[in-house]
Amino acid sequence: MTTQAFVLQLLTGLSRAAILFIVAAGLSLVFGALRVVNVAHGSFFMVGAFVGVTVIEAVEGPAGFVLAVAAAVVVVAVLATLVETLALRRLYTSEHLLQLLATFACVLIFSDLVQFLWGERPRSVRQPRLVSGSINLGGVIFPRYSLFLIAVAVVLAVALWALMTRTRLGRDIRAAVSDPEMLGLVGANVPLLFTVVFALGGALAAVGGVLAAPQSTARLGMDIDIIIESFAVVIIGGLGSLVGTAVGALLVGLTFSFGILFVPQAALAIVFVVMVAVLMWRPYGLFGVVER
Amino acid sequence: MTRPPVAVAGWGLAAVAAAVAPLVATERQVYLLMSVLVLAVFATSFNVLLGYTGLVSFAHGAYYGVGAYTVALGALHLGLPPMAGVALAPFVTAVVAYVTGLIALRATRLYFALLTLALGQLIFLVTFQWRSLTRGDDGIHGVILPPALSAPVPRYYALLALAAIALVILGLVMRSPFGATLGAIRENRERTGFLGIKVKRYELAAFTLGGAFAGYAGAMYVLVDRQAFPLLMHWTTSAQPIFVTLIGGLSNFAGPAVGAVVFGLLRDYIIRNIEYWQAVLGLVLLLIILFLPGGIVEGVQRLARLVAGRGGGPAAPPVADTDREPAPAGRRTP
Amino acid sequence: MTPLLEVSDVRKRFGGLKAVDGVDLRVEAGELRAVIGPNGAGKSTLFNLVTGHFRPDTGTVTFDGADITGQPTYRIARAGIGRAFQITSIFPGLEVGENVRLGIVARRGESARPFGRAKGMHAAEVREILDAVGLLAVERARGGNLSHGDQRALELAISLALEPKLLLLDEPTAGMAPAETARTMALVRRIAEERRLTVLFCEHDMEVVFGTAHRVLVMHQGRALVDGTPDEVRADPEVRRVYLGSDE
Repeated sequence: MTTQAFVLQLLTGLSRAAILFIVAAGLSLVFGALRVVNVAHGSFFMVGAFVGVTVIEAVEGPAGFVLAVAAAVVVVAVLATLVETLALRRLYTSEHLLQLLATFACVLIFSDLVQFLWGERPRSVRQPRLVSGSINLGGVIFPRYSLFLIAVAVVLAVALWALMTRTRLGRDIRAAVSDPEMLGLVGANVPLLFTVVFALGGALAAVGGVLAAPQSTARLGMDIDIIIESFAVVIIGGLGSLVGTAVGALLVGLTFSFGILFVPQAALAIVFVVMVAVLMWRPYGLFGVVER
Repeated sequence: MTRPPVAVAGWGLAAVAAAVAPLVATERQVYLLMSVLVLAVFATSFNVLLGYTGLVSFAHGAYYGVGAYTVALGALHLGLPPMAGVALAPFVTAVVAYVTGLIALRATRLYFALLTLALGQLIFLVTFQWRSLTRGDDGIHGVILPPALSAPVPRYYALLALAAIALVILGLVMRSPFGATLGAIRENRERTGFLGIKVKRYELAAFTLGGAFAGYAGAMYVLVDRQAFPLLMHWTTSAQPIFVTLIGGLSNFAGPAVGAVVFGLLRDYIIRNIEYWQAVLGLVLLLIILFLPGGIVEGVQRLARLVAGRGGGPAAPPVADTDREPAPAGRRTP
Repeated sequence: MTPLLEVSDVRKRFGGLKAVDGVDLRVEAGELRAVIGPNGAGKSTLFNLVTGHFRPDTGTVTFDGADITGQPTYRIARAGIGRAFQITSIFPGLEVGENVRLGIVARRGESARPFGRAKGMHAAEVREILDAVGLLAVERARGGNLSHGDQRALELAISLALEPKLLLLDEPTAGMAPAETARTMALVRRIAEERRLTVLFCEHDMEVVFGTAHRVLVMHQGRALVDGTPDEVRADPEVRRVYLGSDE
């Protein structure tokens, strides 16, 4: 394999990993703090993508892209808040299965909502000019957008880490992850915290959606696709661990992109095999929080 | 001890209704009823895992598909008559379920569920890609049925018989000590282990049994639609019995069957009349989850108790002891 | 005479914490043996080591002549060690009678039978056990609906259904008012006598223990402090220091 080909595959894998990380981080966060598996996370991703595309089509240039991200975050945060307060909140004392199914019901609702608002055809959008095209480093061509995605993921990872370790919100979230019973006792407003975390998770999915749109178009069914891969990421990495999500995302993204080289039709299958293998070795994922 | 009168009346009524239905229904409705029968068996097989053992599996659709493909591939490659395929399907599926169960049960609860998701999707992908064997995305169509079953009404009765056999077998097994042990595992997995029971073995047995009958249901499906295609194995197919069981009620043997009837008929009506049926379906399900988590069966039972004058809440405990301190709840609090 | 249960120099660490740090315990058949100590003394961990919930880092556990160190819980249960839990662990969605029946069916090895009607099985024995613990009146009630005290009794009943040779009771009177505590301990004594059970129980209330136990082991910070009859223990200065000095 030539260096160029290798670099391209590597970057494809890394940029896929970047998007997966951003999306899966939200999923993992919500699970860690709320102990809820939110299947509608993929729906947030999809809504984010469609909102982003709509804004980019309306507003030209880099401002459009930034606005798109902001709009997607706001819209999805609102939707997420609605879901959490109207539905999930009543189910926290119920079985996990009911929570999961409630979110699945939301998937159905959101899927039709998107179809209603945007129709059936996929929407494509160009990469923002600032980060489109490629740069040439030492004779090897690097697609700019891939580098951009990787950079964004790294920045978000650092931001999330800072949030978790340096802010009060982060402290509360970590308390929720490790010892929910204590949470109310240390003065945290638990219902508000849960809503905030859920909205934050959704926001991350929305950001992922906007970033993914220029690469893979906004289309119906992207909610199901991303949720499967995100689950693979968080299972491999371990639910509730940011480091695990990062590792999982890298593993899944790279496995997929290099897998396509060797066994083009079965790349996703290989991901699942990896997932099964990891779980057999470490039943809670590589860095997982042990389930209570 | 005799079974509660509501249950006996319910099953009796259902049997009578099922027997006379084709005489009053249109052909399209008969086909609808056939698919309801298939769904009832599928959902009941799933409840062996969910309601009885407490296992949430997203691979059940895959087993359904395996059963369907057993019939279809048998007909396609081996010239196997479909009814023989139906008889074979549960055994083939049992093997698949057993092997995947061995893998999946290495994890517990949530990770188990996600692992079944992965395994189910793997089976789906294999079926999808292995075009030479399964015809991949095209699926297998036009499975030829024996002439006796080509007309809808006799076919309906054949399916009714098949469904009855499945439900009777599952019903007997669930009533047995084995079924009671599964219930114990669902109620308190750890304590069941302390009774000296190898919990994982029972879970695997339940998984295999449920999977086998999912395959049986899939085989029944081929008799209805005479085709098999990869999407049968997708995890979204697995979601169906979950919803159906939830609607009907998972703590009761009849729940899934009741749910199947309601869901099947409701969905048919909604799909035909409302464009955005997914959203409506989602909304209905959400409402049931939020306000009637015990499903329709429990709702009916509560209603029956109300009518009998014994209060509408869950069954009240007889007075036992002067110490009236309420038992501590076992669930986590946010 | 060889003891029914012999725990030799077991140790168990959790990270930096030495939960159990070299404890010896001997329980003779037919005894009512107690392990007491303040919170955090390591009593529950010791129990968990005996029942196979945890594996000891070092040391051995011998029961009825056989080495059961580190064996899985179901095997230890089969060997004849029963346990009633500190946090009541019954089958809440099932009827009281069914709770007990599960134990009886398990004892007979019938749990895997895929035919026959589970509900009516062993009805007489179920009643007998329920009567022994005073729950006969609520045979049909749902386990989860019982009062706290009744749930503890059901907990005990399920353990009895397994016909154990040794019964471990983990803080049997936790959270109970004095009258009920006395009743529970009287029940334990009576049942142990009637069924020739050996009972090992742990408590952190000394008075509960002294009326019932034949011999008492006092634990403190993972170690054995004193081992002897209730009188010996009560008179021991070390014990006094530990209990009077600690925050009870």
